[in-house]
Amino acid sequence: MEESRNAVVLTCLLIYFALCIGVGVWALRRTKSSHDFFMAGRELGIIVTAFALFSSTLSGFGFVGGPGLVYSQGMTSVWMIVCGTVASCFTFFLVAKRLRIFSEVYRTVSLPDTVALRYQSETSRFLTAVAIILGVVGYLAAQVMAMAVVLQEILNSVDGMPHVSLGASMAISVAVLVFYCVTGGIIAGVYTDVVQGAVMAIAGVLVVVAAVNAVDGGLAGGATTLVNDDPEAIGPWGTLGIMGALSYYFLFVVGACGQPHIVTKLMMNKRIRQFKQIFLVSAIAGVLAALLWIAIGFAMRALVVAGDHPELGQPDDAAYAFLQSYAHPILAGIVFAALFAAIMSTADGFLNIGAAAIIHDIPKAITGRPLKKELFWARVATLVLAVFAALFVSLSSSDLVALLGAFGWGTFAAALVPTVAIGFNWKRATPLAANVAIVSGLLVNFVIEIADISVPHGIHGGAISLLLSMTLFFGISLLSKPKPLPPEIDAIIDL
Amino acid sequence: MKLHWFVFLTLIGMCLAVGAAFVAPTEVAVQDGATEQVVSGSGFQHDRFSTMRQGGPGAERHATTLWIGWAFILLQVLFFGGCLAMGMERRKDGGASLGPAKQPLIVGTLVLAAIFTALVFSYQRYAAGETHALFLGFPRPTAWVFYAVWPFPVYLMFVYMRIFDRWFFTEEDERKVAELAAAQRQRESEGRKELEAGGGAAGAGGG
Repeated sequence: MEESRNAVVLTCLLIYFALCIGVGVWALRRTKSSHDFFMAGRELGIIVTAFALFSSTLSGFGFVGGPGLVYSQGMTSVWMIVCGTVASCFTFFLVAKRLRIFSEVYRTVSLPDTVALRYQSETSRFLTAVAIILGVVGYLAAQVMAMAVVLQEILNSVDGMPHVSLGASMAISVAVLVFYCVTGGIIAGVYTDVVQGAVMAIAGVLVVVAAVNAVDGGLAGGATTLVNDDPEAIGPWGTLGIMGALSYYFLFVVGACGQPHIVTKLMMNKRIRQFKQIFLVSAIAGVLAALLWIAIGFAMRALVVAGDHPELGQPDDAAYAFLQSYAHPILAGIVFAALFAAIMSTADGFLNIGAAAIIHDIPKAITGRPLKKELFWARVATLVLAVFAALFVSLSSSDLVALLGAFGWGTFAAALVPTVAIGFNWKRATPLAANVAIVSGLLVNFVIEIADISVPHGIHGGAISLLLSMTLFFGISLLSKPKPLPPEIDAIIDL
Repeated sequence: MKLHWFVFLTLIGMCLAVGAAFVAPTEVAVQDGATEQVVSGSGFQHDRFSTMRQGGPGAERHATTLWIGWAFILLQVLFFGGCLAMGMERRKDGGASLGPAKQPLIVGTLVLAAIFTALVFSYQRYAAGETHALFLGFPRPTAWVFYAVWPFPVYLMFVYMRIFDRWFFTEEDERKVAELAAAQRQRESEGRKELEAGGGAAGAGGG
């Protein structure tokens, strides 16, 4: 089987693509309105919602960038993933219930819809939609690029296959993504998430076994190699040090409940009472999938330091090199499918919320009413967004794409966490505070990223902007006069 | 003290901690045989592998920032506890209350703070080179991360599940949501009728 490794990997990927297309065809018949397209008719069960939640969280960055960061920085980037359990608590304690109640009472179809209701402000809706579009463009471009690079590597490694260009790989992967997103909207998105989530969780467990077997002396042997080389790399804070590691922890714990492609899924389940089980299932599945991030990164660093593997060309090659050299061909096939699953599940969520922002929220913020034939325009917007992201990737420098991808999480966190996570639980929060938090979150992130400002001690720029926007949100709310809320909104916040 | 003031104060405290880090020394001297090299305290390129970074001397580079970091994480934990409490707080009989969530949340916050404190002190010994012994496959301070920091929030998950029905979202709350939704449908339907009759704009609603 070893000699046909690349063919096995390609077969696993083709099976996965076929599943995505099949789900798209099936979901087409279930998508009859914009409400179905954006909110899955609010009919999702426990497993589907739970898997959609965690698989949207773990993007291509988690499967490619994550192991690469552990390889290059040691323990520092592990703080981005061990925070997942506290981050889930934040999401379910602070956001899930009220978001779902707003969605049930007012039949909202997007996060900006809900923000507009809570703050009774069309400006807040507009700013939320703008923040979403800016974040979506960056994130989506990064996902499209990741899909194209991985597919090209896989196709070109199969014997007898003519050389496939990056553009052709991009066209193939975007075509599959667009097919199921346009036909089935979020229904196709969440049901493919179930397949994608299951593949990721299984792959996470299997990779740990493969990693322990690959390193001489197993887990303890690998750790000893790393301690002897540089104790700090395998120490709790990694190479970046305590402030860098803890800034990651802060940004990723608190920031999760401001990610619109994640929290929007909390508006789609059938009953509020299901959150008890959804919380448990999504947290467990998330932990299993996270094992892949940690295991591959550590194994590759230990193997290279011990001289058992040549140095990688770049840190992001860690996952690919590990799977090609140390994983059974079928496991490699499953993990490559999982990688695509991680990228696509995030991309489909972004396409959906981006389309909602363009055809629902911005027109409503400007004209006061949604577009006619929303379902048709939702499909057009999904297609246009995907094509735009692909063109943007093709015409931009790779540095710009990476920069925008990194910009995404911090932008959403700083702009939306105060407005959504705190504002939905605190009546004293004012529209002015929400608007200032969104604008300051965007501006500070942009300035830090674009001016390439180096923050001392490896503190993440996103953590700084999140801290500032939260402090401004509380400070301005406490200083400004709160607007009286309509009794229904008041009642929802009391629930 | 009201919860929002508590959370706001922890935020101010975190801003101060990060501000203190800004003025703390950012470079550290690394001794390599007879030569001394001044490098960034937040890691520098590995001396053998260009694609890796290394941390350098842990005790020296964390001489100031370890205690700032300790303060930063304790404030973070208090902030997390305060925010989770905001999500659990209910208005009953005119006053705000945490009901059965109060005690478990206080315990959870204090235990998480204790775990991080143990981690910081364990790291202090590790960085000083006193011990590099492994515990379940990792150096001891790293084992605190994997075996305590990561799984501990499962406790909060069980708290959520345990008090969900009797406090967080009761049957009465479910009934109230149904009533609010029915009233909204009624308003929307009246709004549509008015619109059809040319009587003006539709009623309130976001959906």
